[in-house]
Amino acid sequence: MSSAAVKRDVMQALEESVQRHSSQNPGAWHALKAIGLPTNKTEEYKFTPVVRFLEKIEGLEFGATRTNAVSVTPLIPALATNLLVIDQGRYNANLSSFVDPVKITVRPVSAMKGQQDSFELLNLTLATEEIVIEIAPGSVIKNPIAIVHTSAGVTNTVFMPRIFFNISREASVTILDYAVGRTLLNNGYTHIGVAENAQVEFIQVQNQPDDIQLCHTHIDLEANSHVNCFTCSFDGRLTRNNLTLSINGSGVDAHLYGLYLATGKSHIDNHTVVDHRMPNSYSNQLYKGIMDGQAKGVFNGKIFVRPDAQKTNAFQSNRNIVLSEEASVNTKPQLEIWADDVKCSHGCTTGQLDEEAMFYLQSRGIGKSQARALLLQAFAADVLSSMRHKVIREYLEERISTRLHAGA
Amino acid sequence: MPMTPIISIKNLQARIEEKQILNGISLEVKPGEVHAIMGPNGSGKSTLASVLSGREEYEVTGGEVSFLGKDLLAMEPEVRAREGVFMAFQYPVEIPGVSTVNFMKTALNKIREHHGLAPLDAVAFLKVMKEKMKLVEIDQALLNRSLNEGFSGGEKKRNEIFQMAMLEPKLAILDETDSGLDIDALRIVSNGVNKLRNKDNAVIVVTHYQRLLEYIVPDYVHVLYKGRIVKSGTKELALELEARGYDWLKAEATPA
Repeated sequence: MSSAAVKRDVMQALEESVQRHSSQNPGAWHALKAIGLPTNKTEEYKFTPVVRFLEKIEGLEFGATRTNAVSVTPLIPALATNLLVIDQGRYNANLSSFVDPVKITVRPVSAMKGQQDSFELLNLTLATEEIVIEIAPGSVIKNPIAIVHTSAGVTNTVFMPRIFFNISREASVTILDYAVGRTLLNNGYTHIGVAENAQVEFIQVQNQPDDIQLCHTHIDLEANSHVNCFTCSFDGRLTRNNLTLSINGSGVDAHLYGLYLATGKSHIDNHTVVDHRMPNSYSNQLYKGIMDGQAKGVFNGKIFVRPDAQKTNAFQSNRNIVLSEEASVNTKPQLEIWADDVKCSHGCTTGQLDEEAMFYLQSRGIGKSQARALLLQAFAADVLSSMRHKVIREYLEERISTRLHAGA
Repeated sequence: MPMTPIISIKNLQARIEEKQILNGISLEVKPGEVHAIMGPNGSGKSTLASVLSGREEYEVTGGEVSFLGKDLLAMEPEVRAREGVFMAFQYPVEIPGVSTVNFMKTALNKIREHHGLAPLDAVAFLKVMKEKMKLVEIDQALLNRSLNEGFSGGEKKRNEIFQMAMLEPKLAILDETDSGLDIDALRIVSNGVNKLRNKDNAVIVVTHYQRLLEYIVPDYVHVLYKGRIVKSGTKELALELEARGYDWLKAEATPA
């Protein structure tokens, strides 16, 4: 069979899947059919041809199948977690276990409201449940909540998890999101509601070489809440992170960090939106990428400062090192500011390793490959340095170090 | 028995891109000696230092350099360093995210490995470091910071000499180490270099001015002009240059 014969019309596969699964949300399906899947002319997906990646999957399907995962392996063996297993996009209670008071409920899929993105609509169309995690007011969840995605060995089906965190006022929690096992195709929606004075650290680790992950994350921040987001992309066939923050109160402190180390043919795309709706809040974005091989990177960062959001401080920085001729990065900041008393800045750089610095290290006896690794590690270091969860931070730093020193 | 020179440079020629800069330099430095390379701007002083330390931008077009009997020009920059060549940079680079301490530990252990020595553990390394810090009057807080990031000119140069103290080279090349230093910093840096001198190592001081040579007293002074050594002498030559400038030498070097 030639590879052309394997190619499947993605929309047709989708139609068939929708017929088979009978959508809980016909409205979403109609809306999706009306706008279609993104093409290379769709502004938001111009550099990230999702459909072309999906076309190459033999026997492509959408929505969950019926086999169940039998086990999941932890990302950090020494770390005690509240383990929430998402098995083919659905909650697997048998494999999940909790050491802290975390309330999990599963509810039907909610109605569509204001979704614009085709893949969010797709998620709504085919999701079969919503997993809700409630953190009670004032409760400090000591151990991280690990959201573990597994495909249970099914590698031709795009799953549609829908996860909702309700983090009540003055609560505090660390969330660690990652995938395990074989190839995962995921089109997931995560909503994190952070009430007044609550604190959350949200850490995503994307590290499986063949995964296709489309992650739509919406974070709603109320007054005086604090969020630290870390998106660490170490591997993956295609990764698209849509991370949207709504700042709905004053005194919000929001930090978005992204680190992508891409090699081979990896394609990693981070789209962020930080929407300042209320005055006196702070947001900072720091995204860094190290691109090697034929990898492609995309960063698109939007900052909105609404008319009411006076005294906003909003900053954004995207820095990239491109190590090979065939690797590339497309970066685009977008600032839209309607308030007049604000401090906003953005900056992006894409370059090679600093040759002067390389020579300096070499002139002290450090060989080329080790010098390169040292410089890259130094470049990446500040992305993770403010992670509060020490065990996860040290685990990630170790991984980055090992990765960058490979071959040194 | 004749002493093996530390470095022996014979008819060295080099260019950068299409520009020929060194036009046949010959120089021999023996253990225990200090040689000063002086000369007007653009005479090739810094190029000589760069070529010896192995900068890739420079292409050696002729001549040879023997370092402790080995072919220096065939070595990668890091191998030169491990064999015992040290360059104190005129403009030390700033490297955010790499502390001087970690950097030196990596470098020192690479050099030890090259000589078949076991790496120093954290405790042993710290002990060596504390000793060397005293030599150059440098503070540990500075060394814990990112390499040279936000350092003053004097701090950067002191850090260079601290690194020299840590790595104990056979040959130190000081490239315009006096540039940008006030008199106190100059004294501290020079004292450091002098304390590190012994009968087995050697120093090449590249400088435009005689000032540094009041502190680091050379055995020989060579004047470079248009990529050649046009005059060699003792430390009195440096004084003469200070008094008379370089023009009389330029006139001597240019046939009428």
